[in-house]
Amino acid sequence: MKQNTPTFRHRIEYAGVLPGIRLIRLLTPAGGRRLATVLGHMGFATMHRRRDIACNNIRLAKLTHQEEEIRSMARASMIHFLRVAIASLQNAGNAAGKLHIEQNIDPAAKEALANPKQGVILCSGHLGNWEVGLQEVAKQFPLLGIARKMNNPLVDNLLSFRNHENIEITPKHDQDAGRLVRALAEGRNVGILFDQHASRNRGVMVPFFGVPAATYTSPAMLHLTTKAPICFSTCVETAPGKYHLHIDPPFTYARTGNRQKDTAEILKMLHAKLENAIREHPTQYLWAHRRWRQV
Amino acid sequence: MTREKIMQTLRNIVDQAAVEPVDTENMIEDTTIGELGFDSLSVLDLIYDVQQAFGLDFEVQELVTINSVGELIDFLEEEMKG
Repeated sequence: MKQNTPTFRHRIEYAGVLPGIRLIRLLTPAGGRRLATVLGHMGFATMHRRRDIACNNIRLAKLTHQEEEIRSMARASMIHFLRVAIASLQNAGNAAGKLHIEQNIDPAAKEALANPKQGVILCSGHLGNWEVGLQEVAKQFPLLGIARKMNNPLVDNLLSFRNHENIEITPKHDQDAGRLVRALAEGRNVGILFDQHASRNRGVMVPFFGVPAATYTSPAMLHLTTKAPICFSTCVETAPGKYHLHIDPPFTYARTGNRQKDTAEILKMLHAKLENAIREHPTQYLWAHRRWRQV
Repeated sequence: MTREKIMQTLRNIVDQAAVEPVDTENMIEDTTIGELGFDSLSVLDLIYDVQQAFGLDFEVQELVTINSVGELIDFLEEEMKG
């Protein structure tokens, strides 16, 4: 198991990050947005690799063929991502209730999320403000979020605001093999961001905007083994400081006995839902993520 | 089905479901699930394949208290008795 003891390098990084976070928390929400806009423009001009990944992804998704629009969408996406990060640091998931979040939770989903005998597999993508969305869900229903641990344990501790009374964050590949199954059986809901590149033999290929993308099978496998329902969810920004949280009705899938086929079918359904949501809010998607590494 | 037959089936399943290569020839009843390298996500593949291979539809949460291959075999024997 990896050691979590901070190294000298971790301490140096932490010393660099801490003042930035403190400064961000001193800013007003409007100040935070302005900072994100400035940093986003600067990042787009200087972080060539990220800019190229974002532009290439938008080209692959065929959202537009106009090069100027592609660049403009990629720039807006980068600014949006920084707004998400800064807003999350400032509001700690709307802990103080400063954000206005309109909710549209399907009644059957609401009932399933509140079921104390079986949790829901709540699936979302890197669209809008997923942090605010999951934290908002956690205010009403118990939630276990799966997230990658930061390499730097000190910075990871800084982000512990994501843990509060109703939400627990668990690492992606938890050594406690039974944690997710147990959580669902105890009526806790499991939140997963499913649009992530799966490395080596950990995933299946799923069409995303018509292009095959290596995808982790976890939401599908959790459903197939526990029979817990899946709900697709989004939380998009509608105006500065205002969000719309949407949760679809729960769905289930009857297994055929072919693991590859079953997981691919479930993930295909989820990606189709995410695609539709992205088409409505293309600048709020994290295009700078290397989603199609094999292309 | 004998314990040895169940063990052999499990060896085949672990070979397929494990993310990292596992020396299943040396897998014995005292081997723990953790030693086989399964984590909270990869263990789901193991559960699915076990259910399929033995034609069982058990409640998955019954498995979370199982620590070793021997305990898993005990569990499967009980389930197969129905």
